[in-house]
Amino acid sequence: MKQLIITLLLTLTTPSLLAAELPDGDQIASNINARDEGHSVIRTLTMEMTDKRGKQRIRKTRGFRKYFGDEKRTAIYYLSPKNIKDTAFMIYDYADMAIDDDQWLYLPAMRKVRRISASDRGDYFLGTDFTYEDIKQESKVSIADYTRKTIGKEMVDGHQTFIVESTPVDKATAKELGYSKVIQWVDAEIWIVRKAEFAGLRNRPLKTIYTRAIKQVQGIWSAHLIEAENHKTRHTTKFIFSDIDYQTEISDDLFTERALRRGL
Amino acid sequence: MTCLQKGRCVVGYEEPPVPPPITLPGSSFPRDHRKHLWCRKKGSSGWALILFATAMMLISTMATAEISTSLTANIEWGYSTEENSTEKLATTLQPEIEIDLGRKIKLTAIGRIRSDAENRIDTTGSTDSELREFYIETEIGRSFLTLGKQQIVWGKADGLKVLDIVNPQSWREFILDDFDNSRTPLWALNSEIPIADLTLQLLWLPDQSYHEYATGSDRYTFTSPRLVPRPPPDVNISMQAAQRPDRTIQDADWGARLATFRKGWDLTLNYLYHYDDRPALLRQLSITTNGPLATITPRYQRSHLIGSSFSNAFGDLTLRGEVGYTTDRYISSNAIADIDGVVKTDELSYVIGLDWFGFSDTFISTQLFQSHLNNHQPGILRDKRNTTITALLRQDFYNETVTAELLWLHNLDLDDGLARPKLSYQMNDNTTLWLGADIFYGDQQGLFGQFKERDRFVSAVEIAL
Repeated sequence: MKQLIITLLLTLTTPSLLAAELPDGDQIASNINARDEGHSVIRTLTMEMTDKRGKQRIRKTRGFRKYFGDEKRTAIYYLSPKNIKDTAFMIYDYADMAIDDDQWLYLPAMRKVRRISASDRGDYFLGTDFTYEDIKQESKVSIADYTRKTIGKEMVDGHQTFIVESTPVDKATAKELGYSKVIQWVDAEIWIVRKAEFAGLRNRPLKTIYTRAIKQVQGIWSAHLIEAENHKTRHTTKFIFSDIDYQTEISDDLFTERALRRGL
Repeated sequence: MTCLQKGRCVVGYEEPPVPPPITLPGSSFPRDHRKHLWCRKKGSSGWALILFATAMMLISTMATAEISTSLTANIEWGYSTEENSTEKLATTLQPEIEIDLGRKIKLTAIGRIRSDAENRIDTTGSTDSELREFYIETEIGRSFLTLGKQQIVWGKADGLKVLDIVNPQSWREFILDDFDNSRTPLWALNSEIPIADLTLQLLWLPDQSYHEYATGSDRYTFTSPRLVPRPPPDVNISMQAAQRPDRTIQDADWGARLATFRKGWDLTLNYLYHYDDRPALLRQLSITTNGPLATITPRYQRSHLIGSSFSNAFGDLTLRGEVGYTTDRYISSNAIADIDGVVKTDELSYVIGLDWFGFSDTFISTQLFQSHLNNHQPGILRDKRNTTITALLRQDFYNETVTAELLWLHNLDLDDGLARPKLSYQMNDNTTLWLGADIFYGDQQGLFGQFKERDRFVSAVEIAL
């Protein structure tokens, strides 16, 4: 009887003991967002998209990101292949969550910069398995969109990680993001999400993203490979980063409509 | 979400054109000379030579020039459903070269060779070749400078042209050709100068090229009596050569655009001082021994355009639009009492568009276009007010490798229109296949309805290397 009581007590108290050992989910999210990503960055991004039959499309881009105070501006210019060369995407991401982001897309076939809706953030970015929100957040996370809890620890690719379960704050946000739940494996030392599993709006597995080849560049931890696998379509996307440069000053003029039109 | 494939993402028209009166009864206009009279000047070889020589000199002084080349090949088959026959079997090759000369100087040259085995779209010849674009881009401080033959695009509307009139347009295939293909590049000096949070664009366009129209038995020659002036019965017509401006400096067009981004709004103010790309068809009536004679002299006229454009996003919606006020338009009139056969009027035009991004991989866009003539006289070939609506529905599938879309344009005044369904498939990075249809309907006096016998299926393969 005594043993049964002890067993029951252990069973009831273990989760809270475990939880006490683990950092709070919001704290982990804050650590992720506090990680240094440089005032600005220039990098080459090669996108490899493969469908379930193995057919591959490869797109090469040059990406620029720069902070203007709390405001983050990102511009991506397509270099190849020919049929989408000179396409360019730009986003102004404001610190004030009450203000919608501003997004533009330059389509060379029309020779016009088109304003696009920022509430479309759960839509997939130009044929990839990453959403516009994924592209905007890069290696950061959105604090306001989710409630979080830490549910465990696990080794991923030989690194200790905390497992954080994030749930959209409400149905409208879930619909915007296209996810009902996200589970992230966050590196316990350098606060990079090494793996993330996304559930669709019907709570079925949607996609998994792996962040790999994490190396320091000019003193800043940088992912050189991000792989996304869509479980519904069996389509995969690899983002391969190269020529990462945090030190070269980027002209403010690069983040303008006229720069989008003109290209690199 | 958004079509990135080169092609008919959006088509457009300028409402309404004033086509050449090649179909006028009794016209003695020599058909072989029509290109000379009506079409834009090909070449402007003097400018090309100067720029080419400059470019070669620059290249020769810079051993480190980076050169990239590409070639786009497009094979298009059009089948007339009304006549059960092939309308066109066209091959277009577009070579392109970009030379990065260093020191922030880049040279771009784009050519086009087009051949049609059917000769029905343009009956004058099966093959044409052209240096489409040839320009040098450079940066001076924070300013951009583009010098050479180029396309300059203004406005926020898709296809419906209020401000996008810097370059003239080819109407050889009505509005069915790609926008990029149908716009006529011009020799121009184009500078963009940042001033605080504004960008001032200054244009100087010494190139006197104008709209190019289908004529005679070309497939898309305008025939509607509301578009083509018709003389009374028994009146002979004498068509004179077009009076084109030909002074490089004095007759150059010029324009300015001020653009800014403020509180979420993309805003521009535009001004263009130019020759209207449509000639005024000046008419002189006389009595001869053979009876009444109408002498028609096409003359290009100066015009001012003052306008503005805007766009902003609100949740799932994007609002965009443009407005333009054009002075000194000369609209043909059938009224015999009208001495010169044209009515001079100003025109106010605007487009308002709403884009909706509510569903994943879906894009829905609608536009309303209206134009108003200030001086509407009896007999004038245009209504005082003209209203057209457009709708575009597009759905992407399979990570944007397959796109289905429907573009619909409808004129509310005459209840005529055009529907353009299209299905495209991106086979790989280089190859795109598409299948579409162009379906005209409505009153044959209308801009669209006049082509209701021109319904067609079109299929194409495009290879970009």
